[in-house]
Amino acid sequence: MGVGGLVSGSLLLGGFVAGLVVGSLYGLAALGLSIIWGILRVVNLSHGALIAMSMYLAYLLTVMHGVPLLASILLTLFIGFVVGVVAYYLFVHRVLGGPELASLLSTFGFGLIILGLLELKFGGIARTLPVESSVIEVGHVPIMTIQIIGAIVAAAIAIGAYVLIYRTWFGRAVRAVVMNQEAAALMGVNVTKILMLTFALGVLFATTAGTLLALAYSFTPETGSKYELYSFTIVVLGGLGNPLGSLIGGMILGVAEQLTSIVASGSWGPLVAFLLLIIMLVIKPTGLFAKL
Amino acid sequence: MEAAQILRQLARGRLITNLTVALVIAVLLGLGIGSLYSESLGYYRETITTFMVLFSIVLGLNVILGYTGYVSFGHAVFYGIGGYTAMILMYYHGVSVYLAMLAAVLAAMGAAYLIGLIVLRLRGAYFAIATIAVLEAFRVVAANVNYLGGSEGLQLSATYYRGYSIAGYHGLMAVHYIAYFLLVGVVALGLLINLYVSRSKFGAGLRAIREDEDAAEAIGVNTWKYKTLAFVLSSITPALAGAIIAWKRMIVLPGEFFNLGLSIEAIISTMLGGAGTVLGTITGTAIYHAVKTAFLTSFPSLHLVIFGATIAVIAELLPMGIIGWLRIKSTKLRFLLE
Repeated sequence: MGVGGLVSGSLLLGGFVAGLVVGSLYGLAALGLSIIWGILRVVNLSHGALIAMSMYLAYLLTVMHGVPLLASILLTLFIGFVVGVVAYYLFVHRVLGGPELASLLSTFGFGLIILGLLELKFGGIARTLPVESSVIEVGHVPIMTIQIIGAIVAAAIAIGAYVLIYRTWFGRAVRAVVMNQEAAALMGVNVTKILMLTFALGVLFATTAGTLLALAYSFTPETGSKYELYSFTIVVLGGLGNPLGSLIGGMILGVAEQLTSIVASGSWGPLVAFLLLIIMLVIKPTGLFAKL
Repeated sequence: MEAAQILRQLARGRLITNLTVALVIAVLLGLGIGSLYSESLGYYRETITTFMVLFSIVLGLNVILGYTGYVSFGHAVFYGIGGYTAMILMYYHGVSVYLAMLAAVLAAMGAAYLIGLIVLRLRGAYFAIATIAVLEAFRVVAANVNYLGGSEGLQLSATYYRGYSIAGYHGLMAVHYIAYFLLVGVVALGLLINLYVSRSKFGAGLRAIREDEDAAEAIGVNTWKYKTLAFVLSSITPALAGAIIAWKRMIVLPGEFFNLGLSIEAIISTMLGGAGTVLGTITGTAIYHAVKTAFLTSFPSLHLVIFGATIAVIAELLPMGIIGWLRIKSTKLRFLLE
């Protein structure tokens, strides 16, 4: 490892696999941002805070109240969905269709409220969930089996979301709302309900990704902002509103990040994400797999 | 001046705005001079210094966000570029703060031009996110390159400050006063830039871009040139403030100078007063700064929560800002408040 030294092929292979694994979780996180952005036209700046919230909810239930891990994850997701519904009415509904800045700021304000509460309750110390997991090595790069399970779950959810949006009545209503809200309303679609459910669904995806990431990595209230920026990059890479695009975009970013940390050092990882984002925005801002 | 002429100017809002701007600068200067002779004003000098740093960024941001309608979400990047450029010159070459400020502003303008080549192709939320990415990329580079001090930053030694003195204060004692007066100068420059943009044909072109960029292009506004110039202009006061604060604090740190939070504070201040107005920048920044200081002291643990709720309420109920709202409410005020 290290600058100037030779990097072995097996190490690169390991990094590639590790990148795919962690990337599918990034993709799931980005999916939450992507459907809200693509369908409500709101860039949700509370995304990172919601991810952090889910990590701490799982922590609160498992560590502080002794709830079994799987149960606490499911409970966290339920709470996440409810928070999404409430947040839609409090912070999003009024600013829909208004100036861009209004929705950016109101969701950012919501994010600050969450972060403030997390800091107040848990402080800035890094936390982990009590997870026991065996480790397998791919080309000298250790990968936890729980990460692999998380990656499979994430990929399954992304595919499920694709089916939901493109193969169901709900999805057809959602796409109708995106194309023309008035016409959709005239056809009997309850537009507000669709928008509210979409927002809550986006929050649900973000919280799912958050809890899965918390299984393998430590977290602080600030952790969410990293995943928020990654999510921006992935949304721009994968195209707005396309779940499979988010999944693939996430894997691209994951692989790029892991390979960078092998060739240079881990702290350069974020730079790769930002450069990818800027390059994509300039070359093809509609993303590699735009749909809707 | 004839009475009729005064009335006409008053009706066009110019006199009120001119008087307000002059008053603001006079008060800032007066407080600085007062603090030179009265120890008890030291607290106000420091809190007004913080206010002026934010105000410098707001005055830059207002040009690109307020008049041109491009939501630059990472505008503190120019504050960081200014601070780091100045610090490199002071730390490695022992250059004086005044020359370092000049270099900082030139570096930031050059950077704004180059960054603009990339990000100004984008519109709406895409532009906003690209500016966040640019800011974060600069932060990561600053935190990882040894020449820039890495995550420890670059720190000046006390001996560097020997040559500085003002009104009987020398060395490190003089720094806070000099920095204060330099910032008053930056704020004055920023206000002049905003007045120019507000009243010139150039500014009219920027407003045309804000309302409808394609239409502006169609009626003959060279939109690319205009928005690039606006972006470059908007980098001047943040860069100068960054250079001054790097000098005053003796240290540059990646997280403090390439700070997304500072960018967002500037956006909130601009919005609160009313983006695209001169009086709005003053009103918004003053209220924001006062409220924030009050929250930080009275609710130290809950301040983020209250702060977030306040932002959301402003965005949902007062998206035009205070001055913008007053302008909509009455046609008379629309002419009076610039």
